[in-house]
Parts: sequence; C-alpha cells; structure tokens
Amino acid sequence: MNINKKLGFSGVMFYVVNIIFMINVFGILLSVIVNSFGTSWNKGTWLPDSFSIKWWDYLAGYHDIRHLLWITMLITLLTVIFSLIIAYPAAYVIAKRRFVGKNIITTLFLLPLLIPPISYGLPLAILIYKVKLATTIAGVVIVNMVPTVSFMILVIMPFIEQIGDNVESASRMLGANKLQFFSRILIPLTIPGILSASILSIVRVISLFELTFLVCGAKTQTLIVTLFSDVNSPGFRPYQMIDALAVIFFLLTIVLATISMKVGNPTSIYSKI
Amino acid sequence: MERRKGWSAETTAFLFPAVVFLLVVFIYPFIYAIQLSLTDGMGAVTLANYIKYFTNVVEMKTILITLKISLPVTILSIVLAVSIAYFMRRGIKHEKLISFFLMLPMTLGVVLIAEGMITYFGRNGWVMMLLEQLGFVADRTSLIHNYFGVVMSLFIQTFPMGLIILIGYTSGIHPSLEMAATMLGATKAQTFWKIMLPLMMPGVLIAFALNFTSAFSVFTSAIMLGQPTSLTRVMAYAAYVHAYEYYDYNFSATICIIMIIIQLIIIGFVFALRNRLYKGASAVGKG
Repeated sequence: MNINKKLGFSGVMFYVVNIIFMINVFGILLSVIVNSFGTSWNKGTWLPDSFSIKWWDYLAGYHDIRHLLWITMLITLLTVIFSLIIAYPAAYVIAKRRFVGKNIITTLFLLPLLIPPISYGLPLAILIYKVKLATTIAGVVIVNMVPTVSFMILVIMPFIEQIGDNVESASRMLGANKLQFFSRILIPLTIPGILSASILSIVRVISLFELTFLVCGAKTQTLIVTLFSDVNSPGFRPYQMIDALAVIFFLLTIVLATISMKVGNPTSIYSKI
Repeated sequence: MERRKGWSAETTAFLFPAVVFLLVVFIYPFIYAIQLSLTDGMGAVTLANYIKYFTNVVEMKTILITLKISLPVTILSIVLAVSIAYFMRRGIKHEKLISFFLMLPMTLGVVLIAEGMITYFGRNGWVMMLLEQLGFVADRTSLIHNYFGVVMSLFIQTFPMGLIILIGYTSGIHPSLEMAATMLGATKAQTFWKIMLPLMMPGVLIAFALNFTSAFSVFTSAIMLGQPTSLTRVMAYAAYVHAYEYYDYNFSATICIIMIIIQLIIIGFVFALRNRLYKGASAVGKG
C-alpha cells in the first residue's frame, strides 16, 4: 500500500529546501574558485574582466604556503595520533566492560561533541595562556584533542563492539596475555575502525577553527585560521588572493573528505551523537 | 568474562588517560571559569563581575542580539528539518549523495563558507546580479555584513545537523503505525500531528537543544558576515573581546558562564514545554 503517492507539504519542502540549499552552496564555492582566477571583478558582471593566475602568484609571495600546509598537517596528525592513543583503550572499556559510574564516564566522553567549541574553548584558552602554552604547537594540539578524543571514542566503539567476546576468551584460553591479545588480535581486527576514525578526525581537525584561533600564534596557525585572519585582520588584502587560499583549503578538505567516504560510513562524519 | 561492577586494574588503566585528559582540559576550564567570574583581578571573591554585567547596557544588549539571531534560525531549522525528515523517513533515491551535499558546509567549516558568501552574496555577487536582472531590486546592495548574512550562515551550518538527527528518528518509527492509523480512518495530516510528531518529539528536542546551543554560541559568522562591534555584537564575541583585547579574564569568564546559564534556561524551558504538551509514552515504535 503506497501512502506516498502525492507530494504533500513535506515533499515540497524537501525539494525546495534541498534545491535552494545545494544551488547556493554550489554557487558560493564556484564564485570563490572563479574569483581566484580572475583579474578583477567589481563592476557587476557575471564573470571577471579576464582570467589569469596572477593572484595565485601573489598568494605564493604573500604567505609561505609550504610552511602553512606543513604546520597544518603536523598539528592535525599529532592531534589525531595522540587522540587515538587515548581514545582507543577508553573505547574498548566502554564497549566491553561494565563498571560503576559507566553512564557518567560515557557522558563525560561525549560532552565535548555536544557543546559548541567556543563555549569550552574560551575558558580553555585562558587556561592555556596561564600555563604559558599558548602559541606553541603543543598548546594547539592539546586544544584540538578535546573534541577529537570524544569523536574517536564514538567512532571506534561500534567497531570494537562488533568483535565478539568469544574471540577474546578463545585467545586467553590459548595462552595469550592481554598485550598479545591487543597487539595481535584486537587491533588488527579493528583496523577499519581505526582508519575510519583517523581519516574522519583529520578532516574534522583541519576544519576546526575556533579552538586553534584562540590559542595559536603567528607561526602556529593552521590554514583555516590564516584564511580567517586574511579576511578579518586590519589591513587590506585583495579578495582574489584570499579566494585562492580558500581554494587550496577547499581542495585539501574535499580530497580528504572523499577518501574518508570510501573508508568509513559517510554520515558518521557528521553524527555528533 | 568479568562481570564485576568494580573497576579492575585493566579498566582503570585503560580509562585513566582519557578521563584525566578530559577532566583537566574540558571540565576544569568550566570550573576555572566559574572561579574567575566570582573573583576580581586580585583574587578576592566578589560578585562585582556579575553586577557589572547586569548593569551595563551594552553588554545586556548582546544577550538580546544573540537571542535575536539564534532563536529564529533554530526554530526555522527545526521546522524544516522535521518536515523534510518526515518526507525522507522511508528512504529516498540518492540519499547518500544528498546527505553528502547537505553536510558539505559542515565539513568545509564556517570560515570557508562565510568567506565564499562574502563574494557570492556581496554587492557584485551572482545572487544580487540575478535579483537585479529579474527585477526584484532596483539597486544592488550587499546581502551580508548585516543580520541577514549571519543568519544565513548559521542556517547553513545548523540545518543539516538537525536533519540528520531527525532522519534517524523518523526512520525509526515503525511504518505499521502509520498504516494502522490510515486504516482506522486518519488523514495524512492527522497521522502526522497525532502520531508521527509525538513519537518524534525526543528527536525534535535533542535536535533543538543541539542546534540552539550551537547557534547561540555564534562567533565566527558574526565576525565575518556581520558587524561584530555594533549590529551583531554577540555574546561570544563580547567574551572574546574582553579576554583578548582588554585582558579582563574575569569579566570574560563571567560572560561565558552567563551564556551557559541562558542556554540551560532556554533548553530547560523547551523540555518543560514538551512535558506539558505530550504526556504519555513516546517510546513506542522505536527499538
């Protein structure tokens, strides 16, 4: 019995909102790309006056792009690696063990995902400044680890739950100790989960703005913070150049996001619960 | 297989790093902020910061501005997300592709989308050009650097999040409930309002809470697409300015705490409202 033959109000909403949404997002991204390749575009025409790559050259001279990309990837990878080391054992215990206070601990682990970064970021940043860790790579990595640890626990948990208890029991019976069980059985079996969590986290950390913005220094800013500063710091920077930087960021994120889609479940990038 | 409820050595060792890390880096800042807000520059306990806040017209205005921005966006997001999630409850063609595109703004981050909006929605951007060509406006103006720009950017960021949450809830309602209602004579509208929506309520509330806290903490959008010093001076920005430009950490922490309190009040209010409107079981039909 097909109840859905007619396109009711919700159907109309679906098509209208989705189409408007997608057209505008597409338009936003396209105008950034086009602008970065145009010479000038301020006379109210549909396309820039002419095309060139001069603003890309300008960008290369204005920012040390190589250093920027290097710092961004360094901070991202350090964040992901350290978060993984902390998150994996915690995910294992939550997935497989019962213990007093499990609910509270689980809530603690999930809270950073539910609370917007600026809310805990500002007090945290003040703290980081007080302990003199601000503007260092360590400080930036620490703040970015907060949502990342939670996210990784969330993503890795189902992968560990999937491994039946009997696998662990069998390995213990055959004489393996805990370390051997972990290194030779559990971790290899959960590699898809580890990969998935890592790549998804890499994508997330690259886009994390507020946390890094509040604690970074001139030499430790990530790509997204530089993009923001170009737009909002005092001084004039041509928008074509800023858009070129935006395109670099966009390409980096899109490539990584596409890779992560192949590796993991697509909607888990975005699930906060 | 251990069935003990106590903390074995293994449990403790494995949880220890994560728990300690989050306690120090996540929970403690909140406590530190409360402590900062209740002390003055010298460390003496005082309520001066709170008094200073509530007697300062400029700061009180930020509460209004932030609410004016966040509440409409959240309500609109939720209303649209509810109806679209309802439509998508049985699954639709290309669902993964659509999800990917809806999530794209969140993946790319606020900064990139906001930066693109400056070009796209600006005076010489395509949107204005189209509106002019179609005859809707006589003179091109900028759609951004004002309230509207911030609202648009917030909507782009929060709507997909709410939609994904609600799709999870609508698809979890067993279709037989709907069919039973129709067989018993209910129209589609009646089925939606009397059966589907009450069952979706937990999801609606969660989505509302998440969307609202996210929208209320608006910071980047207000700076990039608004006028952070005047028209769109939101609370998060005020807290930032007091910490980073005036170095008044105590007052900044006070603003943060007040932000959290307001968020809790509004969310509590919405949850209380729900209890008055929808009494009775809402767990039926969802596994």
